[in-house]
Amino acid sequence: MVERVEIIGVGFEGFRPSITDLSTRELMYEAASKAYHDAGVDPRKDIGSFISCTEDLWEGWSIADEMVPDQLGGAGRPVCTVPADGIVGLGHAIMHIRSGVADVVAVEAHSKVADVLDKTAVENLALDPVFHRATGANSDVLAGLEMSSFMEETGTKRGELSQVVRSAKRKAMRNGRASYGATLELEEIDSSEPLALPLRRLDRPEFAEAAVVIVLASGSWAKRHRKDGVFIDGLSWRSATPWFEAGGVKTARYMQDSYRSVMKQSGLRDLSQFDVLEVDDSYSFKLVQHLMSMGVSKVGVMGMLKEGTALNPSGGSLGTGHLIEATGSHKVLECVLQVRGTAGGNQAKGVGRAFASSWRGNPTGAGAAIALSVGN
Amino acid sequence: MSMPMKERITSVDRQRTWEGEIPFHYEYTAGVSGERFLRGLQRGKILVPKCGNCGRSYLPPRAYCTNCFLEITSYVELKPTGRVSALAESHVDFQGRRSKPRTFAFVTFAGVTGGLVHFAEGKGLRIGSSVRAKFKPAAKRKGTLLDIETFVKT
Ligand SMILES: [Zn+2]
Repeated sequence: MVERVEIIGVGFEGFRPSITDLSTRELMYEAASKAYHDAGVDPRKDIGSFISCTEDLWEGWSIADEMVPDQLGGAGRPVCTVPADGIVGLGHAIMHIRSGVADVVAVEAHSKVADVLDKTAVENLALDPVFHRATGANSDVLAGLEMSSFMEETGTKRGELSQVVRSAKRKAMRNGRASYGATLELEEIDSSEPLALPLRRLDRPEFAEAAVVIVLASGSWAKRHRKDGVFIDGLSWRSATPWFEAGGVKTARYMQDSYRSVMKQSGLRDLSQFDVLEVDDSYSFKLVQHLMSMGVSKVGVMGMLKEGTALNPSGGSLGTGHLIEATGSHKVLECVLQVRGTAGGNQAKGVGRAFASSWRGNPTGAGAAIALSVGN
Repeated sequence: MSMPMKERITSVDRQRTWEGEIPFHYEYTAGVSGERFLRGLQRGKILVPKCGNCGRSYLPPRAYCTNCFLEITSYVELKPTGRVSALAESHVDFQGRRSKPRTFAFVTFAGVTGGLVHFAEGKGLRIGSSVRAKFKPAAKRKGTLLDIETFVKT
C-alpha cells in the first residue's frame, strides 16, 4: 500500500494582469509565506524538499534554478526546478514523499509573464525550427488549425465555442482571483478580432501574473502533526508527440490517458463523481476537447456551461488569465479552496471531491490531471 | 511586504523596470532524417521515413519510430497529393502583428502519420480538399520546407 499524500497548505499572491511592485522573487516569497503559514510549517525546519515549476525562457533568465532557493526558505536544502506545469510539479513532490526523500515538500509555480515583452517570440521558440518556424506559422496558427479540424470532426459550431467563452468570463465575475471577468454577448465573441480563423482573440485567454505555493505532506506526517489535509487521490501526467501531428483531434491523448490513470488510482468511475472540476481551457475549443477526452459527450459539455454547474467555477484560464507554468497550480488551488469551503464568491455547495487538469500549451502534447478529496 | 516606494506609478516612463534582451542566434542541425527529406524537396520529391518493423511513415520526418523506438533507415517517395486535414486563415504574422490574411493548411498524406503545416490555396478550399504540392522552380530551391511554394487545390 503506497503512502497517502495530502495538501496541508496553500498560498498565493497576485492574480492580476501585471504586478508592478513585486519582482519575481518577491512574488514567490509572498505566496510561500502564506502557504507555510496556512500549513503551520517552518520551511527552515520542516520542509525537506522544494520544487519550483519554471521555464527559463519565460523567466528571461537561464538556469532559473539559481533564483529559486532563498525566497522559498530552501537555501542550503534540496531544491529543484521542474520545467513543466504545476500539476507535474506536484507529481514530483509525491515521488519525493513516497521515495522517502522528504516528509514535507513545497511546490511553487508562478507567472511573471507581463515582464516578457516578446511573448510571441517565446512561444515561437517552442516550435520546431525546421518544420514549423519555416513557414511563419506561429502558435496561434497551430491552434487555429487544430480548432478547425476539431470543429469539423465533432460538428462543433462557432456559437458553441462562444458559449464556452461567455460562461468562463461570467463565472470569473464572481472570482476575486480572476482578472478577465466580463459579461459578453455571444455576438461580441463571434466577431472578436480574427487571429487564425476559426481562432479569434476571445478564444484564447489573456495572460495574468500570480504565484501559487502548495505544501504537501505524507499522510503519516500529517497525522503526527495533526494537520487536516486535502487528500490527493490520484495524479498523473503524459507527454505525447508535440501538437496534434500524431493523431486525431476528437480526443487529446495526453488528457485521456492522464484522466484514466487518475480515475484508476482514485477508484472512481467518471467525472460526475466530482463536485467541482477545473479543466484546462487554454483555448475555447480545448475545454470541449479535454472534456470529450474524459468521456463527456458534446451535449454533456454544453450542459455543463450553465451557471451553477461544477465546471470551472473559477472562470478557468479564459476568465482568470493564462498563468503559464502556474496554470495547473491555480486550478489545484481553486479545488483546494472549494473543498475547504473558502473559495469566496464562486464557492460551490458541499464540495467533497474536486478534479483539476492542465495542458502545457502549444506545441506540446503534455497534460496532467489530479483528483482531490476531503472528509472520507 | 511594504510598498517599495511611496509614489505610485503615474507614467510608464517612471515604471521601475529594467529592460534587457537575450540576443542569441542558432544554426539548427536538420539531422540525418531532416536532411534526407529536405534534399528530397530540392529534387522535387517528398521522401518520408518508413519503419522497417511496423511500417509506419512519419511527417515531419524522423530517424526513429515513435511506435517501435527503432531506427528508421528506409525512405519512400510520396505522391505529391495530400488532403487538407485542417485549415486556418491567419491574420497575424509570425511575431503576432496584424498582417494580410494567409491561408495555412495541415496537409496529410495517405498512409503517413502526421503531415505538413504549409500554405494552401485554391477556390473553394476546405477541410477534406485534395491538394497538390507546387514546388518552386528547380533553380530556386534551397533545401528547405519552402522549396514547396504552396499546396494547390486539385
Ligand atoms: Zn515502427
